[in-house]
Amino acid sequence: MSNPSERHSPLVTAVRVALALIPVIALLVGPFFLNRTRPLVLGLPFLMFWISAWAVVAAAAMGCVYWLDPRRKTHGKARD
Amino acid sequence: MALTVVLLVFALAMTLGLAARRGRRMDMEQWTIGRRGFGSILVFLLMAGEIYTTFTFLGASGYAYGRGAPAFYIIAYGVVAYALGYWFLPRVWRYARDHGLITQADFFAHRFDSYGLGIAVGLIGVVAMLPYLALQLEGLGLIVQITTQGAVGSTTAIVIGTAGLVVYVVISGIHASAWTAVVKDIMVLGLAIFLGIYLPFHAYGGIGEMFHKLAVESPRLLSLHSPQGPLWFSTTVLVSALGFWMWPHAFAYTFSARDEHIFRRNAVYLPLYQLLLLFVFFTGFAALGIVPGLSKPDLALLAASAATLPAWVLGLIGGAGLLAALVPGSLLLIVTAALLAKNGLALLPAFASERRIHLAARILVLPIAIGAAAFAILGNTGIVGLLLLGYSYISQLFPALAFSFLARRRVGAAAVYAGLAAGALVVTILTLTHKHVVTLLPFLPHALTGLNDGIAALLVNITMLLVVHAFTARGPEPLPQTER
Repeated sequence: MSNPSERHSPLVTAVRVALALIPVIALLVGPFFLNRTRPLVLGLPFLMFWISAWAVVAAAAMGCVYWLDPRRKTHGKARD
Repeated sequence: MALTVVLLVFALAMTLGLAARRGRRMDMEQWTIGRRGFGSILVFLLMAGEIYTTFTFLGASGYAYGRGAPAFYIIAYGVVAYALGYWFLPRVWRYARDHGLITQADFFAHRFDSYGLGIAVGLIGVVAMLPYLALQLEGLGLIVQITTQGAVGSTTAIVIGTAGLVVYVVISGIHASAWTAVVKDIMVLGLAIFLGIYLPFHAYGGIGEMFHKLAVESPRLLSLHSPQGPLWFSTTVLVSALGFWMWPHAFAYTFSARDEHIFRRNAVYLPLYQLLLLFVFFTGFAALGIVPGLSKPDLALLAASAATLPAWVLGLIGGAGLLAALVPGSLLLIVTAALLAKNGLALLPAFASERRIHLAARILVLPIAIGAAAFAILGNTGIVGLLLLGYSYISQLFPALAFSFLARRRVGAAAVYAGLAAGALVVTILTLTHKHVVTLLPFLPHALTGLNDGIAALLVNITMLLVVHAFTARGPEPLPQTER
């Protein structure tokens, strides 16, 4: 069992939710403003680049979400 | 030459699928969800395998070829779905483990304490999965026929593929899907990157050059335009992401995981894996310069490859395509059979024991497979329509799942029934009348053109659920929030 105080830090939870939401919002809202072909970035049309870039950011953001997850620390210890 | 390679890959898949059983005593839990023993990599491959089916392999490149930028939604919805999965998959998994649940219908039946709801959810699942399975088999036939340049006809390929599928599914269950998924992903990964680089260089002299040229030649191709404008994009991404986890087989690979951290870790890597689709899009765009004017855009990848590559590479593509059909196909077959046996037949007294249910599930594999194969051989008109219908029905399960997590609103089975029925009704009306929400309700502003119909159905679903909830008894206790 883990320490309950680890689990209920509202600030950490808020940061984690925000980190997970930012890429989602960028993908859902971005196309309304950035629906364009040029400039080509890294050879890709701009909209395609925007979506791909946020996939990379999402991976990094979810990595941080996991790293900040209080449950991660209990993994492997005293389970089952 | 191509035929030899395709046959070798098929033989390898069969061997792996059959060997996957070794050393295991099969029972219903082992057969359907690997007795909750799969580690990170196998769960990752089963989840990722969901993205790289024949439908996406041919469909994603075909969509880029035929429509351009709207295809990008496929990358975006996966990223949104994985972020969502981080938060709720561990809870679903924990609940299923604590109560020994095997199927998606089990989850809803147990969670809302209603066997009838389990039957309803199981029925929706089966109706949604059959066209999906038929489409995989149809894709298999198409891929083998084209890559072997007609040496094996599509019908023969479907019959042989289905026979192999039935044998290894009956014997090894989900273990067959998992083992073949390893070979499949290595092959698909390698070929997608190779084709995504080779074809643009062959046709345009490079990826950047390709987009420069396309941007000049067809300025509208690489951005969104009505009716598939930004609103279409956004709402389609949202509905697809919500629906992604609602498939019955998504529950199956979720339940197969060994521990709940697997989902959190996979949510970190899966968005990167999603970028593999970029290469699939590159092949679709490159095909515009190699084989322009195809009447069936879904054939873009195969036609462009056939026009530029030697027979043995085509054989590898055929083999990869075969696996891309067999892996999701086997999972669909297992889960459909398990739903019918466990949540349907189990009601009859003759199927009271676990052993009988497992036997029934394995026997059911054959008629399901034959039905899907017949569907795939007899004709494709309607399959895509049925699949889209199935997708819309499946996503209607989302509100029920979401509300089952909320501690303050303990929604009962009656409210879930009402929401599901209302949402499904909206979907059915829109599909049967071939209308969209905006055309059906002319008072809506024109700016809403392209709005995904699933959003409308989900809103009706949630409204109905809340209204009935307000007038009926409270549901079961909320899900436990703690680790154990």
